[in-house]
Amino acid sequence: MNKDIETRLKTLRLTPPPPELKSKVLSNARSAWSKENDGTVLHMQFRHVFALAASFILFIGVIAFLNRMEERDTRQALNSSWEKTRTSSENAEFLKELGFSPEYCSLIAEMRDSPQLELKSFSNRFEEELKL
Amino acid sequence: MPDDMEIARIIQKKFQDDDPSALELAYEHFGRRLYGYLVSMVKSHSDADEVLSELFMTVARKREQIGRASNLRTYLFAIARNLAFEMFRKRTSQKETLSEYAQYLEADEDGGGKWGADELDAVRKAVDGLPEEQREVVVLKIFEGMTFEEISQLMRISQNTAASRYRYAIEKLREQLKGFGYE
Repeated sequence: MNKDIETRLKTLRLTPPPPELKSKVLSNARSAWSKENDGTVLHMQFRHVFALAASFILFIGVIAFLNRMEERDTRQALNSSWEKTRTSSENAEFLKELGFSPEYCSLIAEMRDSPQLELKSFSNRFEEELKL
Repeated sequence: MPDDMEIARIIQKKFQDDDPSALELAYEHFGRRLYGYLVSMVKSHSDADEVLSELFMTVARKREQIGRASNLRTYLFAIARNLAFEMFRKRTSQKETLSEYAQYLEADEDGGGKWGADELDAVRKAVDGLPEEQREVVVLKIFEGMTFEEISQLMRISQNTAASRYRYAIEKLREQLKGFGYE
């Protein structure tokens, strides 16, 4: 009688594990489970600490950046103010040399931020008009 | 009685709920099949014991992923397969040879099959003599009851490849066991 190989093979089975293996496998697995739990708790705690530290570093970074920006703005403002004062006093000095009264010189110098050259051309024109 | 899928869902739910009783349930349901598959792969009972133990430790560690796996059986067999390959690599790197050669097929008394010693021996030899990739498909298909889809996912091959490997293997077995009246 001919037999079907597939049907016949299905009446075989793979070797089962020895009964004592179950307790060994499960005991190892349970200890891996609890270690993983401890690890997870530690990892969670570490994650909180890490998140806190990262936020703190970010906060400090932002503050430092803003501080530097403000410092730069202040320095720029001071430089520009100093430059303005210097130009004004130079202009006033120049006008004084031309013979204008000190009050008038300061007033003009404060009113005009224009460079000396412009003032020079203005004063030249003024002188020419006086001559005429 | 709950079917395979239902039991797999219950086990996965337990893994998701971080319930360690999932391990015992998984062993009860899959332990025997995984062990048989492992012995057929590593051909040694002691190595299969070691790999099965390592497998359940991996399961305990990766329980979150296991809880989310789309097919628990395939997932567990994939871990078993990787660990078996790791065992091969370890053996090769340590230049170890097997001190024992484990038989992994036995007559299933409950399955109703009556086997003569000669025939059983011839079938064992014939199955064992198949090329490894064909033998693995036969073991998974016939003895583990997997579908070609599951086999293809597990072995990372196409379903057609899995089916043709199976067909070639069955043809070879038929040819080799002609003397015992197989058609």
